[in-house]
Amino acid sequence: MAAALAGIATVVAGGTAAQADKGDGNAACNRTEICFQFSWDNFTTSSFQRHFWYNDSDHSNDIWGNVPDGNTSLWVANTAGGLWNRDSSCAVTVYDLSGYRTPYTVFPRDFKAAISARNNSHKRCA
Amino acid sequence: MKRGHTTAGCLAAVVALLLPVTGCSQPAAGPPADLAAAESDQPFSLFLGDELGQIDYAQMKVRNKCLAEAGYPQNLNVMLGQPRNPFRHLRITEASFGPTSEAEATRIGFGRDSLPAPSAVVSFDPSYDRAYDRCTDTAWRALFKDGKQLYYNYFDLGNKLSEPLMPMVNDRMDPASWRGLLSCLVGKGHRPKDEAAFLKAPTPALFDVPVGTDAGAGENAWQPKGVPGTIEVGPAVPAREYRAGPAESRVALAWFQCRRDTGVARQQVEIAVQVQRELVAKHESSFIELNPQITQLAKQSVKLIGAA
Repeated sequence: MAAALAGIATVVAGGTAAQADKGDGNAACNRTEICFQFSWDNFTTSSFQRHFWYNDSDHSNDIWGNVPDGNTSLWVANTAGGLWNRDSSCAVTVYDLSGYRTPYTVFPRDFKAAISARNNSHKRCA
Repeated sequence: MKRGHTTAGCLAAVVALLLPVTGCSQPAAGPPADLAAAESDQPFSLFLGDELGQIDYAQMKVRNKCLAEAGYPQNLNVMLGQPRNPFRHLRITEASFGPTSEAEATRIGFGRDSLPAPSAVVSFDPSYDRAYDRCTDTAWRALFKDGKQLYYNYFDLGNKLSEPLMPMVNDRMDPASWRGLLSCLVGKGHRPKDEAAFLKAPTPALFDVPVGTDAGAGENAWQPKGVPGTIEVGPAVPAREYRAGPAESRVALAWFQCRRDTGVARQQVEIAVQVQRELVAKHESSFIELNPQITQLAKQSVKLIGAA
């Protein structure tokens, strides 16, 4: 994946300060986190992921984490390829637009799958 | 499959929740899917979102009681007091496309009110993680041995309705309608920053007003201590009433008036009904297969948590 990303890397610029919620801060998607992945591989790798414990109304100010050397990260908005909902209480709704507008897909608890790259916000127990 | 036998078996499994559970067999069939709903003005009413919420709630409650018995009461303590339909947005109305009155447009702008949500339960304890897996399996088997797959299959069906809906509605709108909406908005002093983009897919994001500001700074700023071997509980998420700022209110009011006055609001709802019918027809076999099972499983879920 790193090689593939190197060719399309985009310099992260603009946007606003990213929110503090980044899950437990570890590279792997751990129990109780809501995990987005740039390139869907069933979460067998841990690079280019972004984790949360709560909602986020704007993915355009979040960048992918655990970026391998030689790559530049991208904004999370509209670039996610997979989602693993490990939240222990809630289904997670992913929205096409920021601000929780236009619900797009709903992920049940304990479920992971590929998603279309249409994600601008997400909410628990929406 | 005998309905009475199945229910009794499930309830017995609940009573013996902490004992090895052999699993409930397939739920007896509920009533067949009422495909007449597809001809109504709410074709997606064929989707049993409330029943799905009931199943989710029952499984989670049984799981949480199992976790509490294992020494982890946190999930049981924070869970919502009642089921919640995870696909409420499939009830398509005029409100699905924006505010429905001048007063609402002025108050809420382009934002959304939010329901309360439970605290995040955060694990730094491998023992909790193992108990979570065991209790999750126990709860599903108490409900119905293949209930988890049925539950996931029904989420998948909901998403097959949800994901294409709005793009299909947008694609089928008469371009003249979008041009009329644009002309109306410009006439009221609101010009989008990209008219071509607006005419392709009108969105309030094309106006320079803040939309969808998140009021969740409290929980998003929360940081657990992260001590290995511990479980931490974050702040609960309260219900929130969105209040638009002055600029957002002005644009949203014009947006509502122009959607109403140009007929866009009516067209969107009419097209949405047709799109819903097509999507229901496309997935008719899934409704026929899954709806009776979901109906019956939801009934078993009510009995399950009533007995637990």
